Amino acid sequence: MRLFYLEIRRVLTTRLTWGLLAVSLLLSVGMGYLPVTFESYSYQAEDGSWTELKGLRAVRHMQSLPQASPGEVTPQLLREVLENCQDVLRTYGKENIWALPREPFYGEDIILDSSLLSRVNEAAMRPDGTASGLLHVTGEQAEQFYDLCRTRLAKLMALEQSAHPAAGELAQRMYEKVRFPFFYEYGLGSDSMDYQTLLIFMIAFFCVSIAAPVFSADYQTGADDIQRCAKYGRIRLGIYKILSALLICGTAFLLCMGVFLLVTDSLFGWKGLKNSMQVIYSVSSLLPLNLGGLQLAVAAGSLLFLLSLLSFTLFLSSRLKNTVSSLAISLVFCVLPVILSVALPESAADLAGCLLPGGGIGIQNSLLCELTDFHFLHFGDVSFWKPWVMLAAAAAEVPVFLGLALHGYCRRRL
Amino acid sequence: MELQISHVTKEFRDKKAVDDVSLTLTPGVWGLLGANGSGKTTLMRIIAGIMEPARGEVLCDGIPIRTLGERYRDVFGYLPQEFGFYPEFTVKDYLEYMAALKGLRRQETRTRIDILLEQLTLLEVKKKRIARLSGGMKRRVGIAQALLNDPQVLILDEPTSGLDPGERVRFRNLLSEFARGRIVLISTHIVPDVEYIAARNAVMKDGRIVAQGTTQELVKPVAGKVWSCSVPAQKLAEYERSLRVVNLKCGEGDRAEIRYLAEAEAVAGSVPAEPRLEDLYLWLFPEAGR
Repeated sequence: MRLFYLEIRRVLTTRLTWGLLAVSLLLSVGMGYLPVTFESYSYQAEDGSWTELKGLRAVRHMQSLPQASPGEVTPQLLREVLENCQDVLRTYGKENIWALPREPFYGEDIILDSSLLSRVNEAAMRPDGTASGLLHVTGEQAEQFYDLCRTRLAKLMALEQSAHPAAGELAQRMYEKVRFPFFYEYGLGSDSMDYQTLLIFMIAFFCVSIAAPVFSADYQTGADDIQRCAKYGRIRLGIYKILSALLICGTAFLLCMGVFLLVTDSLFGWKGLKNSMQVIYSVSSLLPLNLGGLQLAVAAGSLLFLLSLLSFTLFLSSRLKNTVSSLAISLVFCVLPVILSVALPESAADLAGCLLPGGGIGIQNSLLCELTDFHFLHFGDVSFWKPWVMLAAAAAEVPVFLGLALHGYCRRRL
Repeated sequence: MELQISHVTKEFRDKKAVDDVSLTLTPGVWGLLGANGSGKTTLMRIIAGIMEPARGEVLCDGIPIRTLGERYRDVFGYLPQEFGFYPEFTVKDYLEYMAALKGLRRQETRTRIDILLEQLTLLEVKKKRIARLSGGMKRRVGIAQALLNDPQVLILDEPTSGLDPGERVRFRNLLSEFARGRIVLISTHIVPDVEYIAARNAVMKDGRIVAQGTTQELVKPVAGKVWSCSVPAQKLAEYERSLRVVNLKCGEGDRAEIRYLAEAEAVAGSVPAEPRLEDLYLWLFPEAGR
């Protein structure tokens, strides 16, 4: 164990490591705060003048409004919110709330209800899958919101998975576990979740930079020649090198996630963690999670993807003779899922996302996108929800690449 | 203990770096001599187990070192020609790390490090980063790590390169003392280092062992072929072109003393000189003297 401790200390004392860890920590704080800066709110004072609040002041003010905390999303609440919104839209002659004037406007409080309004609009979609528009949704439809949610999923599956009835059945089974009624309070939203995804991608980039030289730097400097001749210089050192890289990067990831979530959740308010993900993303979202649960699921799943990416990086490091090539190829594989998710047709991108190590780390291909989406992979008559396949593939890749890395290191002969 | 190198061959593409080498190393200091590219480093890496021979094997007390694995490495110390280290390590950190790699217990580690730091006069720099040390100090740190586990088999590739004369003397003394009952193999191109301390030597040329034995045995082929004489200083260039000059010393005035290799007296007035290992080296590797 002493060797393990010394190996961890060695890696931590390298400038690259502590430099990247420090940057990761700063980024976690910064990116946790950034979504707050997008918030703004205008209100009319008693003297008739308009005041615009931005950033944290806007968040705090909106949190203080009684309308910001509806809690359980009841059909009656949805009807009130809808009718209030329709009044405002008719006043300004607009079709939806995003078309309302950017200057302070009458009834600005409907901004607080925008998530609920979007979901009502989504649930009441036309048979062809397009949205009706808020002015065309009736109060009765708002009152039947939860019935519409269930039929919405069935319609969506019929549209997207018509050739794969098993996918539709699986989606329905998953949706049965979703809790009704939904919960909503103003606060945590999709911006924070997007920034969590972006932060994960950046941390993965840094962790790959830390792991890439683990073996190859020793080959390059010749330090490996001496270590390899020592009693524990082969299997044991190989294992400790792998474990220390995983431990340092894994701990850094968890620490950064913890800091990010602490900053963003405390700024937006902890109550927002209870928000149903169906209110924030789609009424048909398949997971029975609130935003707090989704944050943790994204963090835990991404940790698994990170471990698979690191395992692959260590494997490359054990095979390549110099740090530059090890780092360059590892970083290419780090961004490859992002590139392929954009460049390839959907079915090929789905497959690449599952097979590539770290396939769930990125932007469009992120685990968050997949957890809130409806991608299924089909093997004959059997269908699987894509995030499960991605996670299973990552879990399988970790021991495979770690084994190959250890084998590559121990069997290295010139 | 006995280390048997048995018909070891190693090829790099079409070049045989080590060509069917057989050698039995017994306790004592062994010198491995040879010009650059003669295969010394490759042979040492094979003995260290970090390079796989294409044919043949290395046996320690009759057992292949590959089979012995950890047990062989437990009694083995190695300093490669290029001493690779972690630049962020201090001398002490590095030695502690290497001690842990060699399986030394904590108390033993402290004792061994203290002894070696003192023996190799590294005490004052023990908290300095290795990257900031001079070449000679880095070399001494390399020697220290090789000696940490008190090895029974010690392989040192060019251990004295970068050491100043005083350090070389201290190192030779340290090694002579250390080598009792152990196998120490030193490869060097600084022939006097080996001449002083090596009980036996092996000479490599083009991947083969061309001679082996004690210094006295090895120099026999050049006995009667080493000459010294005094020549006019202005004719030195001419003599250097026509003779295999081992050494020349310009004295006062217009005369110079030269030591040269020749089958017979080549300059009138030459007297036979006592052959040394360096003479043999230049006899076998004439290009080294050019």
